[in-house]
Amino acid sequence: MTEIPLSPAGGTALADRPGEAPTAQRPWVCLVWDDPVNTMSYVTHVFASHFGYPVAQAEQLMWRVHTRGKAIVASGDRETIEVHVTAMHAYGLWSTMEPGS
Amino acid sequence: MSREVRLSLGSEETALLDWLARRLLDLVDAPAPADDPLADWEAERSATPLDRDNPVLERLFPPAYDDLALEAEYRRLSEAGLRRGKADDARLMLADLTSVDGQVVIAEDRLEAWLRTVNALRLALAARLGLNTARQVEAVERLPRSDPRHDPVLVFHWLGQLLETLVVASWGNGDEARPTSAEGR
Repeated sequence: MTEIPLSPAGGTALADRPGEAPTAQRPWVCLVWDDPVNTMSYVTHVFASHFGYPVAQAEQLMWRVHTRGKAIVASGDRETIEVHVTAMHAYGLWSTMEPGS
Repeated sequence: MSREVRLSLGSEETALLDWLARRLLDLVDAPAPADDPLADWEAERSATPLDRDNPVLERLFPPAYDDLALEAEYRRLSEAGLRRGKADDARLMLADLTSVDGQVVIAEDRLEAWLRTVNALRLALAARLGLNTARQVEAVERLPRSDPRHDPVLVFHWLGQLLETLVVASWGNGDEARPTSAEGR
């Protein structure tokens, strides 16, 4: 994919977990997957509210999820991305994380 | 500067929301918050594990990782917090559910908790109804009254309208572009 991963504004730097393999330093991505129940406006709201994206950008991201089935909504170190995935789960979005390519 | 949102909800509707939110609370089974952080921690440690065979819980607490070991660690680190968060959100909504003259007033800083809870109720109902694909969602659009799913589907749609109202309210009076539609995804 040629998409540019978006970085949320004001990302929090967190210490790495102790004893982790060097691969933990690889950037991770937070994915949000399309699902038939969450509404377009709610997903847009979540992206704008949690990541602080302007509504137009949040809406664009929502469309990417909807039309492609999934989209990278944030990238960064593993701890930070896990915080974002947890927030997406708190909002009820279907979100996963994986090492970036 | 504190804004508030006024929802037109009658007592029957608040009673329905109250009932649904209490079922959600039962389901996430989060320990009540205590003043003593150690007691809180103990309560979390001893909380009943989530029943992962329950499709509702599977939907409300989806996996973060493909890798089983990483996923197990994610659950260990995040599950208690997610359960407490969903329970706190639901309790906050329950505390606001008093209809006065047909209206429920929500302070702006409580709107996110309302949004998350109404959405969770929708997801829970969808999981109960087995709505996992767009086709399945479409298939329940026009059910005969005799179908046992008829009334739950009405509630599902009503929650969708309520959610949409809350999302629109969350955009407030800002001059930013609004999302284009409220149709289901």
